[in-house]
Amino acid sequence: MGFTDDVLERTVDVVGRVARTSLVPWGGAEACVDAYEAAVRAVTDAQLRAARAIEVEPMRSVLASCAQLTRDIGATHLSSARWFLDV
Amino acid sequence: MSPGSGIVNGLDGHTRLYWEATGAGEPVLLVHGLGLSGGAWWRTVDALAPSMRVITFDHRGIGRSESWMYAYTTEAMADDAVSILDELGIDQVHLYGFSLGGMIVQQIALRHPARVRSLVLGATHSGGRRAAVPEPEVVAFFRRRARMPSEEAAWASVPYNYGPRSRAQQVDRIAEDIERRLRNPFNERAYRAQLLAASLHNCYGRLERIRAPTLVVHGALDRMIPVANARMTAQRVRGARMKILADAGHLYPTEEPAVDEAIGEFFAAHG
Repeated sequence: MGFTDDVLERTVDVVGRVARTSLVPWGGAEACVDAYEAAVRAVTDAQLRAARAIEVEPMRSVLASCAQLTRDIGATHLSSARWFLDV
Repeated sequence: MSPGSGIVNGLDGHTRLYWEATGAGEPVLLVHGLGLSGGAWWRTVDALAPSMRVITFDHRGIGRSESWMYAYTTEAMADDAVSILDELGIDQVHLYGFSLGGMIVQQIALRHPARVRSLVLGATHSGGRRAAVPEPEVVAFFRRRARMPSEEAAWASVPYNYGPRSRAQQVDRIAEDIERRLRNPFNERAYRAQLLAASLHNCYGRLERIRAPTLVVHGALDRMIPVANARMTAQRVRGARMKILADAGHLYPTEEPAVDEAIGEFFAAHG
């Protein structure tokens, strides 16, 4: 491992440790990440339910596309958060 | 149920997913890896279809499937796979994911656990900071490959996809793989979107939550996804079994045909 990689890994470790410590009052890093994931899924599912219920285009496809964007942007946040927090 | 094929239309009005089903018996969904269509499972379909209903599909943007946006996540691709099960009226299924497909089936097992009867994770990793990464030369090839003409890219990937024994003794099988792969036009945007999905994938911390019986299969000489990932995954998924193929590289189904039989037996034991 090169010097730059080593410094980067140490920095990520420190940032992750600080973030994990700061999330302790809210039940810890894992619980916070899980809660965020549950919120993303709830919003996504609500948009999909609405899209299924509304049979009028383009409302239906717009709602379904919004649901996909919510899921995918949320997934990107979650992946990054899990990477930094190592959970 | 009869064999067949069809298209699942997404609610967004743009996503279209092509699927094929062959054989009769307990259903198994095969989820393929980077840049490949469902047709790339042909060897495994032939091995499993005599005793199972084998379902394959083309990922969004690949083969006969379409997508309106070229930014994918493994979560989205997992939901695509589940939408095919919904269309076919299948409540629970055996899952076999290979490479990127293995990442997608991890997401299915975590997002839709009730739909999974058993799980085979082939030549894959769980993502996150602890995943063992390939050598820099391999990473550079992944990036370069998107700009190469299809046939040249297919042959250039041979040293990365197959182990030395296979490259020396199984040239016909490798040529057969490539000939099949070239039947579908290569979609560079979809390939890049799949690369993005693979690099964002991160299930490492949640592997312990997978409850389905799991078999981890990996080639010991895999250069694309180092075998250390298989050991890590098998340690973290509760009760997981592991099968390491000593002489095989990344595309072990070509190099070790007997492995499909072992995977069929694993599914039968958890039916």
